[in-house]
Formats: sequence, structure tokens, C-alpha cells
Amino acid sequence: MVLGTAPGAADETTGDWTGALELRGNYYWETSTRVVAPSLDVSLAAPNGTRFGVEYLVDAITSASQAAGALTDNRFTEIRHQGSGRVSHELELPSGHFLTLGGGFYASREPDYRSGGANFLSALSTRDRQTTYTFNASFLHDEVRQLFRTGSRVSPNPMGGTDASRFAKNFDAMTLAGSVERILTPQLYVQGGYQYAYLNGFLANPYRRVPLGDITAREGTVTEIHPTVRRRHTLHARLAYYIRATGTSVHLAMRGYADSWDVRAVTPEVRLYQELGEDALLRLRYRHYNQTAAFFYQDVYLPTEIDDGDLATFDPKMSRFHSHLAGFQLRVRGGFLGGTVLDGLRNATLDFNLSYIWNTNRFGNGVIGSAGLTLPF
Amino acid sequence: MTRGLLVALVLSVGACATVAPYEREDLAKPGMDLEREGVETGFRAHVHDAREGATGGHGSSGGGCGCN
Repeated sequence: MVLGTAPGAADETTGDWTGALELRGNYYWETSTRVVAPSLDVSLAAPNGTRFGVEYLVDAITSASQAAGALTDNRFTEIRHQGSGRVSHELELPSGHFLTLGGGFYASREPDYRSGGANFLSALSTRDRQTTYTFNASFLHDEVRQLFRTGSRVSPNPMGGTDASRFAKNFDAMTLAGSVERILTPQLYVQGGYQYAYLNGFLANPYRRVPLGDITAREGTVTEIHPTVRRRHTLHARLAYYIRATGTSVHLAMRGYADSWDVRAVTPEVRLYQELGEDALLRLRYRHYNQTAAFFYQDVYLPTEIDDGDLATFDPKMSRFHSHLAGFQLRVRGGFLGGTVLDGLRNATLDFNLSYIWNTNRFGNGVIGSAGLTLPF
Repeated sequence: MTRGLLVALVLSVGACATVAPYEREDLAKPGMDLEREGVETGFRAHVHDAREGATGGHGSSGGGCGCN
């Protein structure tokens, strides 16, 4: 929450730097893919109010999917490194309002994919800090390559006959987003916004082939080809209310999405946070996702209807589908360790998260889990 | 439903009384502050981006990894 008391605020009185270190282990599982992703995030606040942050994450992705370059049923593991940095500073304007300006960078690298980007953020808070308007802009450049998992860098037929050294595609993305957040009562605030994204370049999967004919009678494949431009529009809103009598926070959120590929989606979400004593917090979460298919998606492409080079996709997330997600989080602060030999951890926080996704498309059901340790200093 | 929530949001932004800083204790409760969940939210959003056609509302544009 922009308007709330941010953790790790700098101490202007003592001149001390403050901050937090967060170690996290993330896990994702589905039928054909496993992801283990440890991450480290450090945030710092200078006495003058300038905030800094860096994050490093490693994705170890184990997959047998042809869409990831596997030519056989053998599993392979691919490593992705991701790093990012951010800085922001709040200024008090002569009018008494507060303006925060900031920016950051992002870089990701894996054997067949590189991505880099930068973002700019601004936030204007009214004098009473009851309303905050934010505006963000980001730019992303991705480089897509092919790397087949057989030891050879040459793709065999019918995977396109493309040499990895010759396959070089890129895409660029620009995102503009604005939002407003306002405190309505001592227990209620609302937030809403709009985001526009423009993507231009290679937006398909370089490995995935589209089978022709139905599942009982395959008649060859064609290259997956998506349009090279995509315009995304997203509206989102959230309401948060605190029930003092029970120590419960209720969050209601809704996202509406539409893009130039005719994908339309709605995503309602409910979260309940229940305080359990002074040091524990339980979160229950339900999220529903429902989308329409892209205009070029077909369940079956017949050989008589399509030529190599036509728009075609075998991407499950281009199909019409829906999903349900249910999950919980338990967050425990080390306050009960105060006065013991572990007194130094009394402000540390440990959290466990587990979510299960029921998904109606070919990806199937999935599990998202994580465990984190946050050490403020 | 999306439209209704947004209309309610727009109306509510312009119609409320001032809440003094000393009245904001409840708004600072851990369950009200999603900023504390930023890193965890980032990974979960990445999973959703890789498995759903829609994205946005949390800063990403799509892309950024070989998950297309």
C-alpha cells in the first residue's frame, strides 16, 4: 500500500540506513514442467528518504515439453538468471504535496533467451497523503534464439530445419500504466488503474509446431506463427477493508483484460488475512481466471485449410479456458523469540505459501509454493 | 462486474471525508499492506504470465523469459 507505513523506513533522527533482506525459495509444478527458483532481495532506505533495491533470482526449469526445445521424452533442466535494481526518492513540493520519482532496470538471461528493460515510476501524494496518483512506464527488449536439447545445435526435420546460429528473432514491449489509490475511511481504501502494453516482434514460440488433423489422425505439422503486434489493455481495481473486531483484512480485486488478438479475460480475486495473536497472520486466497480464445486459435487445423506461413498456434494459453486458484499463506514474526538466545530474530518474518490451480487447458493443474525469510535491519 | 467495481471506485474516490494520520492505525495492519508481499507476488505473477493469455495489473507486459 503506497499510503501506509512502509517497512524499513529510514531513520532521519539517527541518520541510520535501514532496510530488509529477503531470502525466498519458490516452486512451481505442473504435469510437464517443474520450476525451482531461489531469490534474494535487498532493500535499503537512506536517511534522506532515498530508497534502493536489488533482486537476484535463478530459475531452474525442468521440462520435457517440445515447446521448450525437447526433441524426445527426456527431461532437461535449463537455468535462467534474472537481476533487477531500483531506486526512488520522495520530494516535498512547495504546494505541500509529495512527489516520488524513481526508476529501475531488469535483465534476464537463459541459453536461448535474453531480455533487458528499464522502467520509470512517479507517484504524487496529496498533502494529507490520503490520495496517491501513480504513473509508470517501462520498456523491454527480448532476443529469442533456438537451442535443441540433443547436443546438436541443428534442428532436425520437421522442426523447421533451422540452424540455431541463424535463428535470431527479437521483440520489444512498451508499457504505460496509471493508477489512483485513496483512503476512504480509517478502515477502508480503494485502488484502481489502467495499463496499456504494446508488443512488437516475434511473439510465438520458436520450438512449438502446430499439428494438423485431429488427435486420432495427425497429418504433419506447420510452424507456429503468431501476429507480430499485440496491444494489451488492462483495467484493475481493488478494495481493502479492515474489521477491527476480528482482526481480519478483506481484499476484493477485479481485473478486466482485452487485447488485439481478441483475448478477453476477467480475474476476480478474494483474500482474507486473519491475525492469529500478535505474531502470526494467516492468508486465504481464491482467484478465478476466465479467458476467450485468440482469433487465430483453432482446436483442429486441417491440412486443406492451412499452409506453412499462415497464422496458427498450439499454445494452450491462446485457447478458451478457465482456472481456479485456492491457496494459503502463514506468516510468523519472531516476536516470541525476544529475550531468548535468538533475540536477534525477534523482528524477522518467516512465511510459507501454497496454492493449487485447477486449469482446464492442456497445461493441466499446477502447484505454486514458496517459503521466505525476511530480516529487517 | 468489472465495470461495476470501477464505477464504485470512481464514485468513492470523490466522496469521502478526510482521515487524519492518527486515525490510520488499522490501515497499517500487516493484512492491509500488500507491499510486504512484493517478492512473493512477483514470482506468482510470473507463473500466471507464462500460463495465461492475459497479463497486466501488476506491472508486467508479457515477455521477459522464454515462456511464450
